[in-house]
Amino acid sequence: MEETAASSVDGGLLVGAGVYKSFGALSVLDGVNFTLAANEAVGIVGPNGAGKTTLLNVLAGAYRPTTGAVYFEGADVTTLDAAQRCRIGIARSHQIPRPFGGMTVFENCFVAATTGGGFAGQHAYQRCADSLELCQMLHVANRRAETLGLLDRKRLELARALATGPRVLLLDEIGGGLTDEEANNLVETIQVLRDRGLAIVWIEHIVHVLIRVVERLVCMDAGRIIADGKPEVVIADAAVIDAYVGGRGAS
Amino acid sequence: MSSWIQILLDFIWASSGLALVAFSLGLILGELRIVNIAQGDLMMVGAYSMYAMRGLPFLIALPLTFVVGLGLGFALERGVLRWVYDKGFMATLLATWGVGIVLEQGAATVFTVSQKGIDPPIKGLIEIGDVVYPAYRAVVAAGIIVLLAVLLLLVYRTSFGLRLRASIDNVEMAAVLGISPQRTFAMVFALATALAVLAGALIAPTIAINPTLGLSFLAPAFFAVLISKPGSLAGPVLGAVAVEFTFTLLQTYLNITVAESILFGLLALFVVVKPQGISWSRTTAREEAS
Repeated sequence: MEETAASSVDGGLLVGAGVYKSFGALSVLDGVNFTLAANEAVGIVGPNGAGKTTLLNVLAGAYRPTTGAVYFEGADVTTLDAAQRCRIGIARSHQIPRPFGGMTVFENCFVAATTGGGFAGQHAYQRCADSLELCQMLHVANRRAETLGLLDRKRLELARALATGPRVLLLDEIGGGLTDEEANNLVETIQVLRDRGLAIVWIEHIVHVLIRVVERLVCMDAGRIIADGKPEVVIADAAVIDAYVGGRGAS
Repeated sequence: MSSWIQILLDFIWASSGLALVAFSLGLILGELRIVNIAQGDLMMVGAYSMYAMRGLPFLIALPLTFVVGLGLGFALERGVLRWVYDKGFMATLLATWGVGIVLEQGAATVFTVSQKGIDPPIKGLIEIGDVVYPAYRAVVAAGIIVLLAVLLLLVYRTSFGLRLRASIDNVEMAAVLGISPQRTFAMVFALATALAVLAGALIAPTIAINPTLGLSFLAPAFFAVLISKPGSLAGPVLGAVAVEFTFTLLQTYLNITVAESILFGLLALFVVVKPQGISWSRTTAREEAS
């Protein structure tokens, strides 16, 4: 057990090793081994209930795995909570944007940079300005977050995660609910982030959007990883097709 | 002319005290999502604290009373409230009601129910034209206005305030960023308690001190919070001014009993017409909508 964990840690920036997660009698993650290399962008697909968001929650520290461990930069971070993991460089965006509605866009980023990222003064300010510029939100920086539309809320979710100065970005269906044009716009931003060397894990239902950014695709079904590799290979995989169109997924 | 100056001064005096209590009430409601029924009794504690320390100079007794408030607030949050946060709205309501009863009975036991009074530290009068007004009230009103301005600057212009507002806005998301709910809750309740205690201490020289004195402040303070925008910390201050303005206007033309009845009737009507004033589930409502 120790051996396996240690050997899988070597190659990865962020590693989930032998992760099981159950809620009462319901087993949601059933032995997942996931490795994200530095500078790598990985997409996670799979039918509803496959455990994608749960895996993201375990990696981000929102959930503690029932058994198994999470490693970041070679160190065991399993016992760190989400706030502590944010501090060391693991940031996430939520499927449903959760802005501080009564605060301005800039304030949303600033509180993330100062408390989530540990930046101070001018550094925090610059960090926010850069994040907002990257996410094309500088022109709405002084608007209250609750007045934003869906695309801008998604962008703010991204900008706020960036403001914490992450090494790994965990994105949960950030393209969901957007029009194709809006999603494309977001893809371009995330491509820039990837090119800057940020490691990215991205859960998305819209596969054709996802494969424009990621170089590796992971498909999950029923709490396990059933395919892992180059996007075109994974998409063609028989098990993946079965998971999506097979009898159980008909609902 | 002179009567209008008198009315104006009374209005400023009444709204400053109410604004401080409403601010502290709004702070607790915003951050802890608790309706603190004991807020008026916390004022009563402040008044009795000043009475107990009447032998000391006012300017020494006042900060000591503030410290008493901080300690009391911290003890109440750690000792009582934190056990009932997840037990629902009714549990927190009853818990604070219970706290209030204990404080009232405690005061009655220690100080008896007979009226007490303390002398104001400033006994002079100020003259504006032919209006004579107690200097103490003018000084206290000005002091509270400065204090509220400082508090609002702290909330809206510092990174401490930013973290506080983030926590009020979305406590779970703030926790993910490293803003501990436990620490924020304890700190906010201690501060809000100390502010209510301070308000009670400041008005103590102008009223008859008895164990139930807080009751008359509770209802207007609640309405001041209810008519303001949910989650806003400046709102209750403006709410307090609005409540007192309406009351002053009514009181000028009607006798006090009728004026109070109409005031609370109007406020109740306002809450019915603008129910978003009392909806504190802004985040939830938005998430349901999206």
